[in-house]
Amino acid sequence: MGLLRRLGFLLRRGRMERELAEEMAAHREMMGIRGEGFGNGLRLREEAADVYGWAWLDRVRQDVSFGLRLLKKSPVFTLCAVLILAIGIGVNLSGFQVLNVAIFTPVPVKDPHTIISYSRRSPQASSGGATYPHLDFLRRHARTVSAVMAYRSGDLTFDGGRRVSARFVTGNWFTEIGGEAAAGRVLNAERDDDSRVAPVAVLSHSLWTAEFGSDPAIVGRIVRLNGKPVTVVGVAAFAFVDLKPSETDLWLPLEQEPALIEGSGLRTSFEKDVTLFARLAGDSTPGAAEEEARALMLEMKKIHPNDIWDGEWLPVRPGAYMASIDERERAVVYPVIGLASALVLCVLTVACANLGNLMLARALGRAREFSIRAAVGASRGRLIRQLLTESLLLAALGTAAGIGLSYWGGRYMLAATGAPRFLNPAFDWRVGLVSAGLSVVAVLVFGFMPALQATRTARSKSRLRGFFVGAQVAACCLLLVMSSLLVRGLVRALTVDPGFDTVHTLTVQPALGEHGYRAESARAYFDELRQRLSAAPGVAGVAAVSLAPLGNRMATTDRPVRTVVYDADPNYFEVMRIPIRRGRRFGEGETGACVVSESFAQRVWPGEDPLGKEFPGRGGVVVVGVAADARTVALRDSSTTEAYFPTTGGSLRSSTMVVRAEGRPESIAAAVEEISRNVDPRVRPDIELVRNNLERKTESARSGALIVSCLGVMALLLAAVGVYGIAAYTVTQQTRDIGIRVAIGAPAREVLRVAVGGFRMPVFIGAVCGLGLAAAFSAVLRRELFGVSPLDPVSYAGAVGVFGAVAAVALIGPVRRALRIAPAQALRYE
Amino acid sequence: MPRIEMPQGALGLLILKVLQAGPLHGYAIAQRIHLLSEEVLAVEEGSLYPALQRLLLKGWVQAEWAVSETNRRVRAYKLTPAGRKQLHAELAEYEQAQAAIQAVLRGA
Repeated sequence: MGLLRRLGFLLRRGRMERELAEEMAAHREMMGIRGEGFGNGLRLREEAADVYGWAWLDRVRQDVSFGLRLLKKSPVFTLCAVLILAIGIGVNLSGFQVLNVAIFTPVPVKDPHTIISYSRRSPQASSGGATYPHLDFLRRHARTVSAVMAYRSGDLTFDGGRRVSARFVTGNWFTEIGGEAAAGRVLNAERDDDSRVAPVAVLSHSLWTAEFGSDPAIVGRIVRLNGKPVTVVGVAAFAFVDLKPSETDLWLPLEQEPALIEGSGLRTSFEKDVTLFARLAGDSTPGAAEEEARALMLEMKKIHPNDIWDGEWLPVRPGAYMASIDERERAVVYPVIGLASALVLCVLTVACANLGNLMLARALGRAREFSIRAAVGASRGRLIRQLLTESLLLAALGTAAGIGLSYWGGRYMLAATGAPRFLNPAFDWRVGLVSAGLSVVAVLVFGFMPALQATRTARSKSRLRGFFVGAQVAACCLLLVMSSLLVRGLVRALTVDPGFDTVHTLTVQPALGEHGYRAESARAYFDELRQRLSAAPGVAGVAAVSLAPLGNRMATTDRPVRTVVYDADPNYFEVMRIPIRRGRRFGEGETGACVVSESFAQRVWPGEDPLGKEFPGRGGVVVVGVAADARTVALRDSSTTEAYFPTTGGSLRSSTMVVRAEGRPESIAAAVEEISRNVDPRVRPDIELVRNNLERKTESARSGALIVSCLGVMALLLAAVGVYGIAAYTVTQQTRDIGIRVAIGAPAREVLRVAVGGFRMPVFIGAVCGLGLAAAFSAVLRRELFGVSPLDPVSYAGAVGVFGAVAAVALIGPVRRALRIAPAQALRYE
Repeated sequence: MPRIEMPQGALGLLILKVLQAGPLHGYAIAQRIHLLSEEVLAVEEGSLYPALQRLLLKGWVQAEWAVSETNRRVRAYKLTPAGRKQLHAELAEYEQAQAAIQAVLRGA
């Protein structure tokens, strides 16, 4: 009630005040007979009006209009400040935008919040995908979900030999996620979940445009995929967004996968992964779905006792996100996100510290104004409020500009990382909240502290200035160290010999296990392939190995040290140019022998002779040789070691053939492909140059290095401007002081000490803090450093050197001015 | 004639009391208090109007424009029912406190 009336007073304020004035005038008139004073009418009226409780609003309005007038009066300062802030806030927002669309925002499919995904987990094992039997069992028995969807990716050969990436999907795929057709029809469960009908396919819009010139007559035409006739029934809409989006050229029914991939055995295989999704039914929850799946796995274990893992369950996660991070990935991803946030915050730190110095200098320049205001009765709180209002105005302008900048920045970053086109940085409540938070923090740093300092009478301001300088140096050094580490890692990955030959080799990956091969037939296949390839012109050597060089497969053991385990042909070492340092390699057909890498020998048997030792955990297997370190799987990851065992039929089911060319591998690629297709026409192996794999492996490092370097350069530029500004300001302030010193014969060194000597300590402390922080956090980057130590002295020294050089350049102007100060002129100054 | 500063908080009570008899304008309120206190209490104009605004805000009095006996447009303040209730409450409270203080003064 009181509040309502108060609001009423606010709304009718003008009339209320007029009435009050009139009333008081009447009072004065009546009193006038007695001739007594009434005091200052305005003051009395204001005091009476204060009762309404809206006086603060008036003051805010005053402060804002005064602040705006001030900002307008010094447009250069305002522009600089807004620009600095916009960069600091914009960089942070861009980073957050990317995170926002990648992690917090679902992909735009139908009802994304009720789509879940399943993976497999047991106490011993885990897998990101499930299998067709899982899909089938859930489809028949799960009641908490209304539909079960799945896809399996595969590369197919299109008519003329072009490779296309296909997704084999359940018939309900398009209807469940709300995909429509641009021409013809999409897949549907009634017609396409049947393996007996002739194969059909839906083309992607981009394939349709690129290969068929958007010809609507494509519908109904028969194309050949893997040599099999497939009828095109439709084209997906341009705007169609897939679950877990990836470059997909066409979609085919999952039931048709065995028809196109011979020997697939998909329907009964527990080795062929499918990515499994479901739509929650009615009001059931993900928790309920997970509980139900747990119970169903117990049932399924009774039917497939060997294939369902002991204690297997299917963890449920939100399905419709670009990146859904499970607990195990969290340990890897969160530190990286944390580090990235810290780095972009560094840019904001530099910006704020910079602006803080500007504000401080400005506030000190206004010392006279403040003392006059204090003299006529302004309290310290009132002055601080005035300064804070000005900072808030700047922050609001800077944030607005930052939001604009981040929109473009975010778009650029998304485009640079090759994100799907529907990903657009949008301004939602999360972005709003983060921008507001950032600008409040910024105001507190660059506005509040200088305001406190400036209104404090007679107190040295140099400590705060030192703090701002130190913070800038620290943040800048941290960023520079990180970017030089990343750049050095990248350079090393691309230029230094990785310990094996990436230039002359290519790989043939038949993935026999997926085509129903058993151990015996796999051995026969590889024998045949080896023989045919060796006879081909231009081939210097071939060798089978279980882990393709720079491929995606990985097999490690952690006992006794982290070791990558290879099953390889004896001549693998020659083909890959991995030198044998001691002993010998195992011979053709030899069993019970193995080769370890130098780092393995050093870590497991330090100071001892590894030859003749039994391999830990494998009874009867003796070390016969020591090979040079060759990190063919995780490039230059110095935390792992290697061990090589002779191939077995079982390992060959998933092995790769490495082919070494006498010249350039491109020259034999076509022949190798031809030969390997002919060994078994059902199997269509992937041929890949190892050099291409290397480029793919370094892609994330490359974009990481690029982005962090951009941040580093931005921070460096901001800091350089800051150093220049603060030094120039100091020199100007000390002109008299320096002049007097010069007059009494001070040498140049003394002049320098006065001019910029005060910053030695803050710069030193800041640099130490920055380097320390870098040392503490750089281990997170280990995977992207390719063997460069996270404490690499060159990077640290380089960062300091670069910063020092840039700061020195920024100092040239002010220092020269200080040295040129003529005493007579200086004394006339002011 | 000695003039005594108004004790804190008492002004509101006195205004409510003098308004009990009927609506009055600002100057009349000050005059009435001055006269009734046998010219001991002087109402500073600087405190009268803030006090009146406070009472308006609380809803204990209402203001209406009227024409005074001297034919001047003035704002007359009138007690509201809420104000009447407040007056009784404050009076009771005041008398209780007064009696208690008296008791202490007599006994000591």
